[in-house]
Amino acid sequence: MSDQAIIDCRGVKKWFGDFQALRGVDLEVTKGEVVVIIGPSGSGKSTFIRCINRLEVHQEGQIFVDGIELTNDVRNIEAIRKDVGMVFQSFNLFPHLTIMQNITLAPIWVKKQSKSEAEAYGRELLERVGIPEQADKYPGQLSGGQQQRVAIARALAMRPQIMLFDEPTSALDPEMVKEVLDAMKELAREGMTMIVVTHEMGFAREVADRVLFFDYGQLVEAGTPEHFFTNPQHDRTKLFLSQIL
Amino acid sequence: MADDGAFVETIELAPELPPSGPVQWIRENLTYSVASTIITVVVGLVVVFGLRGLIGWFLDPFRKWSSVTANARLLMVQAYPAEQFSRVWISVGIVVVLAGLSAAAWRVAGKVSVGQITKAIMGIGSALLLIALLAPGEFSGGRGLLAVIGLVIALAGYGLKRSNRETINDPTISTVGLAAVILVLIAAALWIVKLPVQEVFADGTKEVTNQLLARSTKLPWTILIGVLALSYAIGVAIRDAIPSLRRILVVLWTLSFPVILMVVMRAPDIDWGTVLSVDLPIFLVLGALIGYILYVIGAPDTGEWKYIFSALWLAFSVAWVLFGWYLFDTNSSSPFHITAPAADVLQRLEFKFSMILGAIFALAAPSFGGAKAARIRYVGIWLAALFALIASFRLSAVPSELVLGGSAFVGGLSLTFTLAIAAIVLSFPLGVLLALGRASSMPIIRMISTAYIELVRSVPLITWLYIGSNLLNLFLAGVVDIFSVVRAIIAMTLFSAAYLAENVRGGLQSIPKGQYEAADAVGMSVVQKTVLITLPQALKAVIPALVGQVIALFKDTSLVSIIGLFDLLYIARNVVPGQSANLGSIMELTVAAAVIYWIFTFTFSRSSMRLERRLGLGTR
Repeated sequence: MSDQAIIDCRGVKKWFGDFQALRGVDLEVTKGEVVVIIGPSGSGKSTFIRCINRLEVHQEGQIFVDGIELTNDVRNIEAIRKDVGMVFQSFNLFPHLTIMQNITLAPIWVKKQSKSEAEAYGRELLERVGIPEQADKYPGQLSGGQQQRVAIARALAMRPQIMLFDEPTSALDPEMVKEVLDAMKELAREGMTMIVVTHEMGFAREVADRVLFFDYGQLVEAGTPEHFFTNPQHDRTKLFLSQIL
Repeated sequence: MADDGAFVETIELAPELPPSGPVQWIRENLTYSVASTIITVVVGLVVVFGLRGLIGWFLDPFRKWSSVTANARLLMVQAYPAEQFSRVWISVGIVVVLAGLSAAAWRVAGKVSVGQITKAIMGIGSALLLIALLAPGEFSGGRGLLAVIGLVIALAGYGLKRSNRETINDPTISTVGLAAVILVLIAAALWIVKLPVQEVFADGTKEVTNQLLARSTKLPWTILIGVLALSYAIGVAIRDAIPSLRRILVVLWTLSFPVILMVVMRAPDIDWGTVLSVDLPIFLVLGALIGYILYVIGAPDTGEWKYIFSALWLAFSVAWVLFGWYLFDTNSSSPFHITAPAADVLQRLEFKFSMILGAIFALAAPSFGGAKAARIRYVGIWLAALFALIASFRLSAVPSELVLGGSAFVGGLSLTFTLAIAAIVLSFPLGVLLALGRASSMPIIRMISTAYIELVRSVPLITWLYIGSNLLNLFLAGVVDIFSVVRAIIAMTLFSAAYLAENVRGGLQSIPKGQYEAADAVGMSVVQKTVLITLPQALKAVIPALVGQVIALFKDTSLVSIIGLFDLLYIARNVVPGQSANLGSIMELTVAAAVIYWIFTFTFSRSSMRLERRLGLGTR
């Protein structure tokens, strides 16, 4: 393991009942790297990134985030979750709170920031994702694309070192995909460490430092986007790419 | 053939109004088929004859409605001493002032359209007309007059509707103005309107006298209407100057009930010597000591020792209460049993329950502490909660200054309200805790909560009232004699909490998994997740069920007559009809009680619909 690695996974295995979802995944992600994970549905890619902030519990192997190992120790889990932001496929905004409250809730209660400090940074983030005028609305009054950008701002409000994206554009209408991808590209340019599970091949080609292909709970192939899309080595990768491109 | 696609004709039509009018409405809703026409006629006849019978019963000259009006005081407060009625009026006054301020603070005022008002006017007019037309033969005197009045009112409403046809559905009339007009009319009616009251004496003679609507209470009610208007005006004046007005009012509403129940209505005979020598030291020592501990525990670094410490503290305090009860306080066969005066036992209970409260605050301290200001605020909340706990222990144990004739407390509708509000307010936190316990991942807590809920729900409320009234004092073995109203409140609270828990659990289950995951992903603790994310959404989702339960509980208070309390229905059915002047008036009084219950339950359900609309706006 290099000193640069901010995420280090070794032989991660995970079962749901008798079904093995992850069959020993090894991955190192360095600081500032953008990793895109692709693969057919049911291949374990979402399960894998959900293990990184322990929304799912892996049964074998080790995961280190910023040098801290994820174990049952609550303190480690809390420390890692403050450092790892996550964006979900279905947004999961809190419907009973305004946009600004959605964003400032965790900084105020988890990071113990003052309300004014949290709101100032919240406004800055809404500016960055391009919807400063929506601060006092409720999530139900926003379009899907706007909601997902709020979800990105909410995750960024904790000032995380790593951002996880779990199919962030899959639940969006086609015309709203671009606005969310633009916000993510902006984030990548600023040097955020990102792991993105997605079916947006254009995004992978343009932004990714590395593309990983998952199938049957295994990391089948990894490489730069150029290598990956033009010269895939593995038969399963070739088959998958031929089906979607 | 026109398949070259070049010929496109566009016809622009002006939008047409759909067919409307009474004939159209009848055709669409009542007579759209042969079967529906037959059903309409049959049901119509049933309704007409049913109404005829009902109106005839109400207007029968042999009805003793005077038994209701003559006993209004008994139905409202029962044997509460007349020279202390200022206490009752002060209690109502507190509620009225808070209601006026709240109406202003929450900006309930809105606009209604002319259409809504004309509909109401026409409804009233038609109802009067219908009564005049349907009333059976015995009702002869004012039939023609009533019919004319009804017709005039209905026509006036219709005329208003026709003359405002353009703006009929525009909200133009302020509800504040409308409410003011209605309140002035009510106030004037109290002083002017006289109704003929017919009394039938035992020898068969009848006497008709004209009497005011509210003979002895017209002045206080008029003053209260004025107070309502005044407090609304004050609320409007200060609501922009005081941004936290709503929060202050929530606190005042919370405080108002115990203050009315314990201080205003009950006139506690407080021994200030005991307060200074017992309660004040407990408050100062525990307040300072536990306050300091909370300040330390609330510091923003993580540390598992805090949770271990607080959990041990809680376990110790609970064990201390339970074993202390068993070994020292009540069990005379225990070798450690000490006979102590009731005051000492109360003092110990006060101390032990304060320790439990402190432990609960300590458990939540890491979640709600943080920066210095937040921790100081948290200690402030602790001091307030400790004060409330000690004050309620002391106030519930001291005797009342009032000499109550034969009953434990105020009776009648006031007792019904006292029981209902206390049981609802107290069962709410308990029910929420039980729901969270049953949804908890910790098996012991889940099992205890489930067992409690299933046990309580499997036994009728009457049984719990018996248990509460008889067994509670046996458990306490004469150490602390809880007065009967509080025993009923305890039984109803414990019963209602089980049902409330199941309602809230339904709400918790309706919350999508993604909400929990989103809260987890930003690192929230279990307490924060529950209080900030899941509970508010769950409670909002189950408002209709909760209101249903409030209404059920309000009506279930009528069961307390079984343990010897004089609630509204008991007085109506068993007390008043026993008076020699009102023999045989049981139906009239029962109907009057039913109308009183209906007024309040209907208000509850209407306000809950408003609340739902307000909360539902712009959330999902």
